[in-house]
Amino acid sequence: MNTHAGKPGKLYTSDWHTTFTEQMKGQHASVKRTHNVVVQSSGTAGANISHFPNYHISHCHELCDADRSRSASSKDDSTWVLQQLMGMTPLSTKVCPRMMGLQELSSTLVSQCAKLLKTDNRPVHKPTVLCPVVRRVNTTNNSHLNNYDGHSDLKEGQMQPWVADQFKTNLMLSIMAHFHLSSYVREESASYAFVPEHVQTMVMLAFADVIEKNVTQSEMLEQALG
Amino acid sequence: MPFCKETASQDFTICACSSQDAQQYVQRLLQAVPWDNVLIVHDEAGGPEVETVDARRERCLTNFKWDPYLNIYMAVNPAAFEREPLSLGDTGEMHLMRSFSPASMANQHAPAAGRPDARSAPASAARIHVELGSVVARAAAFCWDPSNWLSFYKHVLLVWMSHFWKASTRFVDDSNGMMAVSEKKDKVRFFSNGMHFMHGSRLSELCKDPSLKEEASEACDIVILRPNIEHEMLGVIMGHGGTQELDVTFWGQTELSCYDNSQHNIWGMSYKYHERAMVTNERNMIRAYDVAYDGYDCGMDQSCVDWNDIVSRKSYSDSTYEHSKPYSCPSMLVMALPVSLALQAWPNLIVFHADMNTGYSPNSKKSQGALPNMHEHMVFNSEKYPRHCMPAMQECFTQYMVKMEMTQWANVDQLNQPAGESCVANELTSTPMAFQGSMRVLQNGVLIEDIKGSGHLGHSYVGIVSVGEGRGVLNPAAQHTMMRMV
Repeated sequence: MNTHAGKPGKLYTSDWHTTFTEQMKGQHASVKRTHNVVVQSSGTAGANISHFPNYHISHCHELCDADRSRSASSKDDSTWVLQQLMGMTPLSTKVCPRMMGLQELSSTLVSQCAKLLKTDNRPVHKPTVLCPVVRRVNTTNNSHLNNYDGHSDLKEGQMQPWVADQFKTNLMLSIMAHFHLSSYVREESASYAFVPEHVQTMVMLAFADVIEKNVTQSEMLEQALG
Repeated sequence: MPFCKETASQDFTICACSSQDAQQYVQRLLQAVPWDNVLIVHDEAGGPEVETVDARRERCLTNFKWDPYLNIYMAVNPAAFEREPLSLGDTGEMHLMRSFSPASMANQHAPAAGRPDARSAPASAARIHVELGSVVARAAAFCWDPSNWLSFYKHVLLVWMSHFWKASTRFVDDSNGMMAVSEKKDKVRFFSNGMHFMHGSRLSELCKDPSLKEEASEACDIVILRPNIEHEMLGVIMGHGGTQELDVTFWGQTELSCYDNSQHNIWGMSYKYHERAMVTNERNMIRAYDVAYDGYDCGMDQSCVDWNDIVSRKSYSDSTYEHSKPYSCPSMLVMALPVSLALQAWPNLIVFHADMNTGYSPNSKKSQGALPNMHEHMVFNSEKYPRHCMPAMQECFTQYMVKMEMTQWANVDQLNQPAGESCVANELTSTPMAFQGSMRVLQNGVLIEDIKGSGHLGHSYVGIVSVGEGRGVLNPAAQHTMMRMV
């Protein structure tokens, strides 16, 4: 007699999911780490999750002198506090889309930008060829979607692993203009990431202001970044 | 990945893995899903590398997918079959995280784990430091000083970067990525991870040990251009002797003065005049230029332009256009270009810049001598010479030229004029076409290719001039055989 005949099969992956999310809500350190690994190793790098709400808040506590021994950046007082401020400052709906705004770049420049962030030379990891059959989600006719720019397109065909759009964002171009090894890429990116002197002054003064006032955001800072 | 539960909103918006149509996809972009429902494992990791349509249909029908909108596992909608990638694994999509949510801005609260005093305060009132005193003053002073902009901005950019592009498995497998096991074939595969500086605190290097083949980095073709070779050429002028065969010498007085030298008791006269021999009977005179090589000046040594030195680049560019002075700058342009897929040698001559108008003659004195197949000599033009030049090669070459600020090499050619005119103007001639040069390719000591295309100069190495004059001995051992000289 088969005692298992009438017993429904159990979807054990569902238990995984439930357990994992419960522990995730508990903010258990090892679970968070696992979450990172799972998201990354799933081959999607979080592809399905378009917006992580406030994941950019990377510092949760006020900085105090006891934190000095736990932070390598405390070697320099000025930038230690600056990094703390940056880690806690919420980025607004006005600032984020501007950072993620796209520029038109040559595929060669995009490919060279990718080299900074990827050490292997496998052709499939180069963002030089884009998916030819991608239908973009029409956000222009949906004004309520404007705040959601950054969503992936609706896939209709095979995609390339590296999405070139990521390298065409204003923020990434600023990073390339300052950190890329190739002087050519630095110079090319700098033309897109130029910050006028009066804006430099405005941004620095806004940061000095919030550091002195000991707050994570201010209207002046919002205006400077926007 | 640092994460603060208090500051995070509880709802996610996600890109739907499956949707009936574009309309539903847009709807789902706006539809928030609870934190508990967020999809964690994407089934692409378990997808086979290549599968037929039938196999894919069978796999989709026998596997469940998590539907975060309905909070259940369910069979895949057959309508979504066609939108699935045909080949997964290496070519699977890899999006990077975007880490802000406009929707969450409204309900921010202060980060407060373990700090009850700040738990309910709004984010705007959150403090960033406590009891740091002079440290804060120094930080503020740092920001007040505009001269610190570069240091300041680099710190800001790096923190922003960590906000928008998360990395967590950066140290796995020597920064290559995360290992995962395919469900179908039990095959271990590596999946790339997120966006970050892979090299950490160290800069990238080409390879650890260039002498080891397995350590070699991306292969490239090395192209050496030597566009500016300056040498003296002899000319000959012959005329028919006799009375008025070449015509006359014109002369004319300009000053005639008489004087009395009382000291010596003599009279004297001074007579000044100008004279010039003018040839008006050209048929009795022959002028021939470039009849013999009269020695090398410069431009053919082993010095290279330093691409990262603006002074080196600028001096090279200026000297190339300057025809009235002796050339005295680095001789070679050494460039690393993507590997060409063509298994054949370049043509000879080559056009050593990307483009040139058709109808150009390599010899400026031959107005009818234009090359009919000029495009087949443009080795850096992927449109006109696709057989050898790939677009990537042309792009890379263009980058070098942009760096040099010499994208319009044809301008140099516009100054081109016959040797005689250049001689009268005391200038040099130039042409943006070049002979390919000599190159000998050895593999394990065996000669597999020997190109002898040095043009009118013949082989070029120390002592070859005496050979050309008939006084030297051709000594093969003395040749620089492992280079391409253009």
